[in-house]
Amino acid sequence: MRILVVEDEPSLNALIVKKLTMERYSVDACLNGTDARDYMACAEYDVILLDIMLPGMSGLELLRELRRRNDKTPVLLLTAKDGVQDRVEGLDCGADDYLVKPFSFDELLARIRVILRRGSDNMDHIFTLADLKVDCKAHTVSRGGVPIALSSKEYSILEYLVRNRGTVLSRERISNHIWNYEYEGGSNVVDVYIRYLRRKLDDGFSPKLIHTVRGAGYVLREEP
Amino acid sequence: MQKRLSIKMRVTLWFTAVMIVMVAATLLFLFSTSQKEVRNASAYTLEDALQDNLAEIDCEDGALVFDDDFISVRGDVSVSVYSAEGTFLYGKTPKGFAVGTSFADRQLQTVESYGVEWYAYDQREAVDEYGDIWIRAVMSADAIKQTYGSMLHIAGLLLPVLVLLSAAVGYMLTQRALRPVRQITQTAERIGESRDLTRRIDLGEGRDEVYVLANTFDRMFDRLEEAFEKEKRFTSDASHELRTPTAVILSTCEYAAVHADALAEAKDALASVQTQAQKMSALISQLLMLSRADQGQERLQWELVDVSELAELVAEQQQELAAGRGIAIRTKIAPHLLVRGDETMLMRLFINLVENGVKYGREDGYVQIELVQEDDCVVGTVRDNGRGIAPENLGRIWGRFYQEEESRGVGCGLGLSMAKWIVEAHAGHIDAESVQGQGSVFTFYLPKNNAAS
Repeated sequence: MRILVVEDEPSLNALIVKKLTMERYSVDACLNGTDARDYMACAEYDVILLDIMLPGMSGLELLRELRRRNDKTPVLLLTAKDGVQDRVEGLDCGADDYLVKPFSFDELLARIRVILRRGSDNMDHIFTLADLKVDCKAHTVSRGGVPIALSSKEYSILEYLVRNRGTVLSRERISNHIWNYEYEGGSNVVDVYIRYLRRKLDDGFSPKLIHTVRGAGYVLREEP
Repeated sequence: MQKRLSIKMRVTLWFTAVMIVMVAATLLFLFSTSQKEVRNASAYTLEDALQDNLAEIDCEDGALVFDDDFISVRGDVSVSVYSAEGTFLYGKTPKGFAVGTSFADRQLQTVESYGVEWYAYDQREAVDEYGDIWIRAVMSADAIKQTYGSMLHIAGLLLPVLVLLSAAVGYMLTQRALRPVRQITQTAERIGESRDLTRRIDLGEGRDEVYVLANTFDRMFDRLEEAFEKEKRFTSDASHELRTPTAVILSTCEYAAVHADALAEAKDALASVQTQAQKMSALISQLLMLSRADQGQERLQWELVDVSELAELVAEQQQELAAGRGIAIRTKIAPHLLVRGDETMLMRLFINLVENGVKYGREDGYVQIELVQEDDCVVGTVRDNGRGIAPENLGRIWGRFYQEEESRGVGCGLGLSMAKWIVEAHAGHIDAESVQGQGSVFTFYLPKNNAAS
């Protein structure tokens, strides 16, 4: 899952990036509003963490522009402004959530998980499909109760597939959500990773969950 | 703002100041002791004269007899003998000496008469059968004082001259030692102005610290030049490679804008544009990665990777693509070989090498992937029976954008360059062997536990 962090204080920015990376998210970061606008125009993000007080464009301006473009990417506002009016204004501008600084990182991660599970019918951070169980907080995977070890990229791809289960995802889309700007995946690599996942999750288990749709991409679902 | 003195001036001034202080101290010391010394020396001389002469005085029949060996005047010293009451008996006193000077037993007296200074030393002696006599030795103070005086004079003249001389020599030596610094400064200035990074200071073999500094700077300029060259090459290569897809896009659009009448034709044109744009996008990403690799900024994710499994899956994936050319992907992989590394990068390594083998492979030929463990390394081999690489090109294949002429346009020539970078980032190395017309073999070594993380 890919996250954009827009925060103008460099050490806080670096810290958030580090924490998110440790949680297996793929992260891009920028320090001002104008850069953020470019990043948002060039890539698809699963969540945007947006500071309100920014050099360049203010966070609320950015948000309004985003929503005017009909971009529904979930936005979590991070800010030091804690007045009720500020919160109301932020949420009305189109934010999905509002977190006041200083915040605890555990709370930040939990709120991100909440945002990510919207749009799916999941009640919490555990996704199930047939006997496949993916715990997105503990980063554990099992099938039929048998725990399965995955490398960190393998896990990230599976998480993206399972959060979008039932949707056919092209190689490009997968690549865009797993790697950030600093990392070029490439479509062959996605193919090999899907083979890894098939070997580890489908071989020896039933039903097969990872399917190829010719000419379109891959999908995680029960029906072939 | 106060202008700072040059190092030469500072060094010279400091050490001249120290020398002046030392010289002044010495002179002061000499001067203060000389007074005392003069007196002591005189006392000894006078005493000696007295002792010698005393031995020559005897009494015979109640009268004093002075032997022939009694020397009244020896050098500067005049010896005279008096009775206990002070009556002159024998000997000589120097002209100008006040004869009435009172006697003081065994004490050096300084007497001044008529503007001349004298030292007088008296001894009261008892002569057998006669009684007491006074024996006195006198010498001019001026003589000795003059000797010491001239000594002081010479010192006073010579030492300052020596100080000036050593200051001058010191200044010259410092200047010579620091002259290379000017050369360094000038070269660095010229490089800065003209942006000509080929210039070097070239001071020659090191003799001292300044030479070592100059040589170190030259080596630094070497590295700077190399880095700049790399960057220029990268920019020019990148621009070059991006031209082709850009040209195709432009001409397709031009053509379609004028000639495409039906929607289907327009859609074809769009599809073509999309393919080219994707090519460009992939190229740009790879270029950026390589450029970051150049600058040492690429961050890898280190995990324990089962390369055997990795190689097999890559082989499966590549087989689908190679089947189109009738090329079989064969494997001879020892199972469960583990390496510490970045999973995605190692995947790219295998993919690039196999793709390369397929690209230069012959129809209905093969590409074989082998993996074994040798000592503490995992050794991977990718061999093909394709057209091979000409011996003169073998060294150049690792360069960016290198492609054999016949296969231009397929891919972009970055595959081997990236493969080499990946292997080296894992603390390994990679070699290529080839026989033209028969095939090529790429061998890489990956240490199982690399310290680099």
